[in-house]
Amino acid sequence: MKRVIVPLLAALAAAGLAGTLYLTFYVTPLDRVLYFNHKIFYWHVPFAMLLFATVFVCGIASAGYLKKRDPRWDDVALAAGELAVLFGAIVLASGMIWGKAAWGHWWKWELRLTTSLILWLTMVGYILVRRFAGPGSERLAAGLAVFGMANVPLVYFAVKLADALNMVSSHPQAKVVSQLTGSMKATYWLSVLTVALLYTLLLIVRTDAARVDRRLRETRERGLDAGLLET
Amino acid sequence: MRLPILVTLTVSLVLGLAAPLALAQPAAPPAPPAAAGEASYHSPMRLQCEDELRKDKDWYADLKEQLYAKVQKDASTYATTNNRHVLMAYAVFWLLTVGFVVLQWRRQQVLKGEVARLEQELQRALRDEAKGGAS
Repeated sequence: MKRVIVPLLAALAAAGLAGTLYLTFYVTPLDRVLYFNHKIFYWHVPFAMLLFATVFVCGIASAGYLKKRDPRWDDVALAAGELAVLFGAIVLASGMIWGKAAWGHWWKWELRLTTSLILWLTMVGYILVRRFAGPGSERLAAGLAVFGMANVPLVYFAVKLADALNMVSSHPQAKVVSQLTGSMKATYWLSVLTVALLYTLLLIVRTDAARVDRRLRETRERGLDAGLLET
Repeated sequence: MRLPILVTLTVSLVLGLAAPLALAQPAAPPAPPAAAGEASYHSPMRLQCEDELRKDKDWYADLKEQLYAKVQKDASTYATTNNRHVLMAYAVFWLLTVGFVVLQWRRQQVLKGEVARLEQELQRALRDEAKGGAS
């Protein structure tokens, strides 16, 4: 089954990527405020959406692991955690570049940017705990992942919260997406689909690798215990 | 081997994000005034020009209009032709995604090597057991 799904997802993601790039640079009009810099929007926002999704996947899989103690949940959580670090880095970096182009500064300590940074650092912490905390690190990291998942609504609603608290927020409102029309809307949703396909592909491949790694370690331990293998 | 690479990557990422934050800090305080005795040029016409501008309102309005037009034209040219940031953002997408894929590919190669090594060890162990049983 995986031998069919993985190449199929890869082919679809590649086609989606080609289509999105073509639409972005040859079909969609320039934004009347940001002109060419608006092209960053078609990747920054989909990666942000999938960042939230992958943090949720990591949190739910971690909660499942804590409840059931089935290592297969942990494999998914690890894969989703690594992808959360990757997507978070892309969102933060592209957001800073877009901020420089649009507002003239790389970074501002406002609510949306700060909460996004905290979310990303939480997921980096998850990976570091998995890597360096020794035996039992899976459960420690799972707790951290659940905390990260609880942060996602805070990041999403940060702009509205800033308005409610009369704080200055230069980040666009989420309703920008619903106001898209024509080719901009089509390009945006194709980009979302492409990033979702890419995410699914990477999640499957990474989960598989985590599973194989875990089984190798278990097999080696059983071999050592049985005296069949040497250290 | 992997631990130093992971630590280096993590530190590089953190420093890479911290650099713009450092750049976003408030500007440094202005430099102290030049010490007594240091030469600094002030145009002898400056006070006269400022005086004339105060008196001639039309001249002041003309100059202001020309400067505004120039500033707006420069800003507009920059906004409509700047594609540097788009290139930077797309480079970030590609570098990070391809970097992750390469990391996964290397991990797969390491796993394949470990599987092969484990298979060899198991075969050797089974052969030794068979020899021991035969004797």
